[in-house]
Amino acid sequence: MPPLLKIENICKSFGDLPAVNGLSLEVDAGEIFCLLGPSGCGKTTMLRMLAGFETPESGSIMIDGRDMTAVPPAERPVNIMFQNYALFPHLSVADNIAYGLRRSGISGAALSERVDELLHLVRLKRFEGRKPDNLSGGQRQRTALARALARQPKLLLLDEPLAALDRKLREETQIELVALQRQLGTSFIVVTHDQDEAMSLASRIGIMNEGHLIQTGSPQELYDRPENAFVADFLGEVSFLTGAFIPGEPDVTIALRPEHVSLRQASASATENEFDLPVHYESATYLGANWMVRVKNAGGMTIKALLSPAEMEQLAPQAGARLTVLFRRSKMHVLDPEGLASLSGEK
Amino acid sequence: MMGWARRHLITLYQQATSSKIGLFLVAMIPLAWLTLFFAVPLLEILGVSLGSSRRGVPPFIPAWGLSDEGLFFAPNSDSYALLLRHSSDYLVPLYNSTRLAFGSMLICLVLAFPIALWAARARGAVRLSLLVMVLLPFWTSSLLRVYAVMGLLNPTGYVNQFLLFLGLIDTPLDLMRMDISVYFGIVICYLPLMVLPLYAVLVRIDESLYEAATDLGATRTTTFMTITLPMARAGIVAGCLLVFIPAMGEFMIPELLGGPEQLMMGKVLWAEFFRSRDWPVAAALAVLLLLVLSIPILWLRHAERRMKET
Repeated sequence: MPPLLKIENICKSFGDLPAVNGLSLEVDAGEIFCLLGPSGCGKTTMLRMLAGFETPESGSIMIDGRDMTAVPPAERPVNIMFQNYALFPHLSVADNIAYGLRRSGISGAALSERVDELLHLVRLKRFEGRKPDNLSGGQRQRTALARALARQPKLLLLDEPLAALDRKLREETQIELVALQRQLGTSFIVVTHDQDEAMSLASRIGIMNEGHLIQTGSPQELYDRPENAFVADFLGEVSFLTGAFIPGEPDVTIALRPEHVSLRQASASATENEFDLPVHYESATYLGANWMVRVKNAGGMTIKALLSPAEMEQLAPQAGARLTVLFRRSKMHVLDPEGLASLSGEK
Repeated sequence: MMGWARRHLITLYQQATSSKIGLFLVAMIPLAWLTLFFAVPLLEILGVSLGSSRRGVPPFIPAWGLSDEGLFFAPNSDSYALLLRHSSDYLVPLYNSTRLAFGSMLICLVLAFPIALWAARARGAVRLSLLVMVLLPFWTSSLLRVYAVMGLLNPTGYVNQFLLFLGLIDTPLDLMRMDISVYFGIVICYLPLMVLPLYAVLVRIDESLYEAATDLGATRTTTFMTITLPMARAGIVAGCLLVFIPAMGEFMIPELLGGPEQLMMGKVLWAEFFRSRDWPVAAALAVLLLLVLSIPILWLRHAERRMKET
């Protein structure tokens, strides 16, 4: 079976600035795929090309085996939920949801039945007569979602779907969104700059930087086995260390997650499957459940370690105190030397 | 002191050019002007209309005021009674005024909408030059503009010369002293009053709304009918009132460009004041015209409020 979405070698630039540079990607039916990257990395441009608002300079977009590259937005089996929701302020919730249905010639009982179904789906039946200005942020988001789902698109595009919501609501909405996607089976493509959002929503993530797709994989794959420093740095906290970590080989750079780093008194020594490094204490930040401790080695490299409050109390480090960093050999992730350059932005 | 004033002016300029406040100012200028020069004269006219006529300077005794014996207050409704008895004399000019003002209003709306929409969706220099092109003629005397229209439409004017040159006509067309010349004059003078409120509402429509409509399957026409037009409603209403109301009482344009068929209320008012020299009757006529004109305003406000409630 061919993939639902097949993007091949898409290029798009604005003036001299390349926005998307040779991007290829396949997304299967039923996936929630997240395009994750810093602002200006080209992810929104890619989404707009999928919706049909921008035309790629080269490359092709196939949806369900049909070439969509030059098809106008209205004729694509794709709908988009905008970051600001773009609800029509002069129309009620029900009329906003009905807008797309009316355009496909649905009217009368069929229309009100479908609108009702969607209102129940997003739990807005009680608010069907309200104008968008009289809705809460979450209700507005659900109206936009129902409106985008009304025409039963094969692919739903979501531009920063949770960015406009406050933290508590975001978590709730995230869970709802995933449940809704499971229920409907529609493929979602989500664009976000928020790594937590991507990690908790996506079945697969594609990390973008400067118009390139750098790595795709499940959240676990990307977190545990980042191909390069950019990916490691973008997803969660990480420390980079360069040194002779592999006996008999030249220096390599490794990525270390803070939760895999232990801190001991200077006198502690490593077991045979551990590395030890002498460091001195720099600073610590309290995160609620844990402490994020920063230490520096003789070479001036900063290493971050995640400590429980009990460990922190036991260690009680003074400013500049001499400590030892311990980490298991199996937890250090050797980075591809070619990918290292992408820390400075070059691929 | 000079430094302070200059800084203040620069701040004002920056605010005016930073879109939202600037838009507000641009839209408020004609409105504020109308309000300020409307309230005080109105009271004065009311006083004259309830007073009585006399031979002398001025040719009336007002209904209230200050005399040698002190404050007095003696209103009478004689002028109104006289007008109501002869109301049929005023129906034709009232009809002409309504017809010409309403027609001009519609023409202004049709011409102003594309200009306003273009300016609202353009950026930077294009937007600025469009707005300047709309506003610049507004700053010249309307009398000059009316004479320019005469220069265009005269039997020896540019329009006729051009048509003769093309061989489309053998004898000059009679374009002056007709409805067409009055429409021409009113539209040229009042167009900015329609463009500005339309621009002010259209510029506030988020581009993503058009994209959302397109994404949901709307064609350009459908998007215009279902998004642009309903969202511009407040601007359409404001623009129509700003054109229709003053055009109803327009004196100069029908006087210079129209003929007897285009006798409008403004001319009748002028005749009552300066030919009959009966100021209380003239003032009473002005007040009645004002009452007639407030009907559409009140109705629109009522309709607006009902729209909001639902």
